[in-house]
Order: sequence, then C-alpha cells, then structure tokens
Amino acid sequence: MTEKGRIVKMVSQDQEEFEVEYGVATMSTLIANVLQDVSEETTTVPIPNVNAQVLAKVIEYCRYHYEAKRIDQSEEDIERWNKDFMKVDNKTLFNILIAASFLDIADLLDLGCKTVAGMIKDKSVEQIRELFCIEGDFTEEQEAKMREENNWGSEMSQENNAAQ
Amino acid sequence: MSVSILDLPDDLLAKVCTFLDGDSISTWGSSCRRFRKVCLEEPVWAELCQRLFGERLGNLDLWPSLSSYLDLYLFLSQYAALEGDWYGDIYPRGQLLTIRAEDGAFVGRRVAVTFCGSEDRSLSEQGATRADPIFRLAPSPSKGESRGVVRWDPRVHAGIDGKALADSGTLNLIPDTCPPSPSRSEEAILWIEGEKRTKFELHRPEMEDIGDDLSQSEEEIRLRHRLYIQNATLPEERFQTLTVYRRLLISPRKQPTAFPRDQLLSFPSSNTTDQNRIDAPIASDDPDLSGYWWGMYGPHGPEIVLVSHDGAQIEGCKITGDPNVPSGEVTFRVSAVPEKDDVFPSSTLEILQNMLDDINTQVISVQRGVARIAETGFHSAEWTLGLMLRYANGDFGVLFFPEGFVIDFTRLHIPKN
Repeated sequence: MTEKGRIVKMVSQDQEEFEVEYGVATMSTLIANVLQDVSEETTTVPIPNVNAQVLAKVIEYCRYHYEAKRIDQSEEDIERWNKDFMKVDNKTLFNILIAASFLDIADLLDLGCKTVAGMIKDKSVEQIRELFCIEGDFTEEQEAKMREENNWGSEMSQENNAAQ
Repeated sequence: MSVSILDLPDDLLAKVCTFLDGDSISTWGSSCRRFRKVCLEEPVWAELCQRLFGERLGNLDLWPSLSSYLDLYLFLSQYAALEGDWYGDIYPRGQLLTIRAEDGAFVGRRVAVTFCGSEDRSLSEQGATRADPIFRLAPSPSKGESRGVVRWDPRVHAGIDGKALADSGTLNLIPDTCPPSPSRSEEAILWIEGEKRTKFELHRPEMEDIGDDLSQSEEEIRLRHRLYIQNATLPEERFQTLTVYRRLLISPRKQPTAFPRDQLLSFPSSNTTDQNRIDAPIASDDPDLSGYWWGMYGPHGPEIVLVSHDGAQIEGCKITGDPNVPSGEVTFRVSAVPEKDDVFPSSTLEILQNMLDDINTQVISVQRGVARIAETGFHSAEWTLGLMLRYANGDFGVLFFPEGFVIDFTRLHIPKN
C-alpha cells in the first residue's frame, strides 16, 4: 500500500469537501493518527469544528510546506511566505490557531502564536486592549497595585541612586 | 463564527506568552484578569527560561535558592550574560576572568598560571593553572512578595586576591548614564558593607530577539557587553581600582585563503596588494590552534595568549602581559601555511632542531611571520621576524629574531572546581 496517490477527503464544519494528498494531510498529527489503521485509497475525515474558510487556509499552509520541504525551498523564502500567510484579520488568525491546535500541526501553531506575540510586543496596556477589543476588568485597587509592581525596576534604581 | 482572543484556550494563550519577553508578558498580563492568570502560570516561565537561557542555565534545579521559574527569569534576564570568558583590561598585566554558573551562583574566577619548573624549556609543561574565585553572585528573592514581579535581593560574596570570600551585599541595577552602545544599557552595582567595598557593574543592552525580529544574532548582542568590577581592599576611596572586562569569544578556525605573502612582514601597514598572492594549501589534519595558550616570557613569568586562526594568519594576542609588551597587544602573527621547502630548505629544520637541542620534541614545520618586541612601557615597539615552530606533540614555540630566543606555548586548560 503506497502513500502516493492516496487522497484524504477533509470535510469542514459547513460540509464542504477538500481533497488533499496524503502527505499534505498527515502534516496534521491528528489526521496522521486517524489514518494510521486505515488503508483505503480514499478516506473521508470530518473536521467538525473548523469552517471551510479556515480549513482552506490551513490546507494552503500544509500544501506549501509539504512542497517546500520536497523541493528544499530556502529558509528565507519560507520565512517570507509565512509572513505573507499570516497577513490576515484577527478573527481568521485566532481561528487558524484554534484549528492548528485541534489538528495538531505544531509548526503552524508556533507560527500563529509567534504572530500574536509579535502583535503584543512593545505595546502599552491600552493599545493591547484596543487591538483585541477587550476591556480591563480589574478594580481600581488592582490597577493601582499593578502600576506599582510594573515600576519595580525604576523604583529600585531610584533607591540605588539615593544610596550613592 | 465570531472569534476573539478571549476564545483561545488557556494553553494557547500560554504558548503565545512563551514567544514574548518578560516586559511584554507583564504588560499583557495587566490588560485583563484572564490574561493575568495565564501570564502567572509557572510553565510559561519555565518554557521562557529554557528558550532564552538554554537547558542548563534555564533549569531551576541549578538554582536551589530560587523556588519559581518567574524568579529565575527575573534573575537570569539580568545576569545570564555574565557567563563566559572575560578579558580584564588591567594595564599592563591584564587578566583572564571566567564566569560560570555553579552550585546555584555565578562564580567569577581569575585564571592564572604559576610556573613551578626551572627556566629549562623542556619543563615548560610544569606550569599549573589556577582559577581563584573573586566573586560569587547568588540570587535570593526577597520574602513576602507573592505577586507577578518579585523584588529580589541577591546575596553577593566577594573576595580579593584569592582570599576567602567574605561579606555580603546587595546587587542592584541602575540605568547606565554613559551607554557603551547606542542601545539602552544598564549596569549592576554591588555595594559591600563594612570595610571592603566592591563595585560590580554589568552593562547590558536591551535584548531584542523576540517576535519576528529574530535576525540579530546572539553573539552580536554578547559582544557589546562590558563588565566592570571595582575592588577596594581599603576603606579609602583613593585605593579603588576599576577594571573593565570585555567578553572574549574564541572564533572557530576559518578556512585558509590566499594571502599576500609580504603582508606579514610589512605589518602594521594594512595596505595590501593583490600581488604576491600564493595558494594556501594546508594539511587537513593540521590541528586547530584556536584557544588559550600560555608561555614563559623569560623574567616576566608565564603569560596567557589567545590564539586565533583567521584563515590567512594565526595570531597570538596577549591576555596577560608584561611591562614591555602589555596585555591586549599581539605578540606574534604568522602565516597559516607552513613554509615551503624552497624557501626554507629541509636543512633549516635540522639547524633549528640543533639550536633547540634541549627540546624533547621534534620540529615538524615552520610558519613565518612577525613577533612583537618592545622596551619597558611598550616604548620602541617593533615587529621583528618571528617563526612559529610546530612540534610533533601538537604544541608550538615562537622563535624571536634576531635575539634568537624561543617561547614555548602550552595549551591552557581552565580547571573546573
């Protein structure tokens, strides 16, 4: 039984079917595990909690990386492609993250988390709240305490300067 | 389906954290309660420590005085850069300082060679390497702080000139008023109460290797570190000395390249021409000499030399020096390629061997170059003809012309106590 020519049919939440080559589909550890004991030429795997738009994105990722590995694509090209791939709105980004986590695609999960981390880095609390449309749910007291905590570094230097 | 960041499960949010630095995590944790909870999870900091500081340093088992990875992160984010070899800019003697994490502390040791043999070159291997601790920095988080950011108060023990480590003090970070590089840097200052007062500073640039900006190599960041240790055995401030340490990196040997033959002897002129280039074949089994060596510089005693291989040349730079040729100066620079027979007839090796008849090893090849000689105070410094003699046992010597003396070098093994 060869892996070549095997097709995996992935069915999204909204019942859309995606025909994917075996090697591409098994970049998902979940699918690889499901297919382990199956030997039919064509296997249908339902992906109940990922919609078609997101699943298409995930498959696009797997296809590119499967191919990139096969033709030994350069690191820089892959980096650039990854960066472009991650140029999506927040909603899609989070959906991709959830899908990558469910399908267990380690590289995509890392890429997604890194992208979110890149959005958070060097931002102020207010900017982060605005970016992700979240509201501060701390009490006044907690807020004040946190301001104090986060200033520990500069506080210490003031003390130190005084000691000199 | 509409999804916001709050729909991500905790383990995904925690994973995002591991790609951030401590400051960003702390800011993110201040934006809402859910994030705060995720940010304070121990596994987040454990993974962050492992990723940033490696499996050995970033392992809590190495630091018995710390009880959480958050504390470890706070400690290491400021002091992990200490580890390594440092060159102490003490004119003219110089100093080799190694800092290693051991027994839950960063221990700084001054490396020295004591010569126990006679002036007889054949006994040159009888030098003993010592690494005396000059400071010990152990973290200890202050008590009663159970929040996200821990104020900590490392105990510092310092000893001078190999005397027992004594006294404790606190180590704080203060912003640097005169940064050595364009990026922000900080310095650590240690005050020792009592009659000994030791100043200990660490300049560190901002780490910027987070997110998608992973391009800056860690080595580049490390190179910009400066370490300052100030010692004073007497309470009087006038006896204080400030030693500036620079990080030493042993670069791997580069492949030999074609090089202008005349360059070596015309040094220090850096103007080179493309003429007179020769091919530079080199035996593949030729040992890499890169690293620390020591040799007996006559009456000055043993000195430590850092040998580097830049492809065309092998250079020996003094880590410790003497009043004639001080530390930091190049003591020899020779071609990476052995002389061919037509330049040095094979009889030369024989003549050399006869000259060095008290040596109990064979000279197997000769590499031509220059060697540094100077009068006291580095006055009248000049380059003289120098020959590197490669011995069968893997060591080498440098023959200084026209004086005709040979300094044998032995590889320096830094003891790990």
